[in-house]
Amino acid sequence: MEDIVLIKKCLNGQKDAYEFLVTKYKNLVYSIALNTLTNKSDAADVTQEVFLKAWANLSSYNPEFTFKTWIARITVNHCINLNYKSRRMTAWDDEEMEKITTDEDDPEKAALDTERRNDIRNAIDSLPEKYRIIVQLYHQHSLSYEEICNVTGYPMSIVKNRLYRARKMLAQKLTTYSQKAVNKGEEAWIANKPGI
Amino acid sequence: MDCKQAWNLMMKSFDKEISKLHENELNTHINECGSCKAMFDKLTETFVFMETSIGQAPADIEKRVMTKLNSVKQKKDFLMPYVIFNLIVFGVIVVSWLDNILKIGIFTFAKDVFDKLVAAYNTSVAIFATYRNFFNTYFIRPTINIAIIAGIIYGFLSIASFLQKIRRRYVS
Repeated sequence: MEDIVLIKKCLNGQKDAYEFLVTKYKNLVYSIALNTLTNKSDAADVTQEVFLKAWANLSSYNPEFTFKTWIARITVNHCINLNYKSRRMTAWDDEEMEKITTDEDDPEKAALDTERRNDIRNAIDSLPEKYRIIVQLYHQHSLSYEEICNVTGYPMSIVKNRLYRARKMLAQKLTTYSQKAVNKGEEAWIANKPGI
Repeated sequence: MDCKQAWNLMMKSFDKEISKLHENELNTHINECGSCKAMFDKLTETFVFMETSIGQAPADIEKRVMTKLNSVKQKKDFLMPYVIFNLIVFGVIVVSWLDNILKIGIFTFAKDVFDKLVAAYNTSVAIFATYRNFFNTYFIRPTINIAIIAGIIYGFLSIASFLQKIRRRYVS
């Protein structure tokens, strides 16, 4: 069923219809919250708060935008407000990470994968919030440029510029990390080599 | 192609807006340039990682949201207008009952206060009207009169000056 039909049902007082919307977008909201907040429990609480906030403001929903964009906008604003109140480090879903990184056949490769993915996580986390949000909305949640403009309220030129800069920063960070890893490997090799 | 151009094509590639021709050019450059290849591979890996690491919301989120929604609704029902109206009626009855017993004269007092408020309002309206009349009589009207007189004098002087200019031109 289309979102707009479900929203109309909700506005007519059919609360069951809202449950479908929650099911459809809960992962999006949870995921954005998880990227901005400190732990899974906080992200779950924020998910609940965002859906309640959306319900309370459903009458002001503008059908010109998709519900996905609207709910993402509420989530981003809510998380930014929370982060302003208390500066936090971002969290990642470790269970999901475990699924991606586990390689039972080759523990050494799995360890290297984990290290590389930790580098990627650190690089993403180290981005300033205004860049991180845009790169995550684009690459993680597959929002288009136009949708990101609607979510963040920034004009297209700023969104494009920030995504460009964010990618550049990521590339620089990842290059630095890999350089450090190479140096570390060389040091370890020298330390373990007999006769040096 | 230099590395800067390759970087711009990489951006287009990540935006999925790259043409086949540019894609081939980018691939050729990447195969020749180790640093660009490393950067492209790292960013590709990062974005694939991001796409695949979307968190799964707890299974009970729907239940939590719907339970909360229902409790909020119940609170709203409690504040329905007819309940408020009933409370007001009940309050008036209690007050009049107490007034009867204790002989406070609360309704007489309320009427006095209301009458005084109406009288104060009427007085303020009268004062305002007087002030407006005063302002019209002693400020607006004299100003308009002076402006009219000044305009007439200026008109006369302009005509006189014009006539003088004509006289000088033709008499001389």
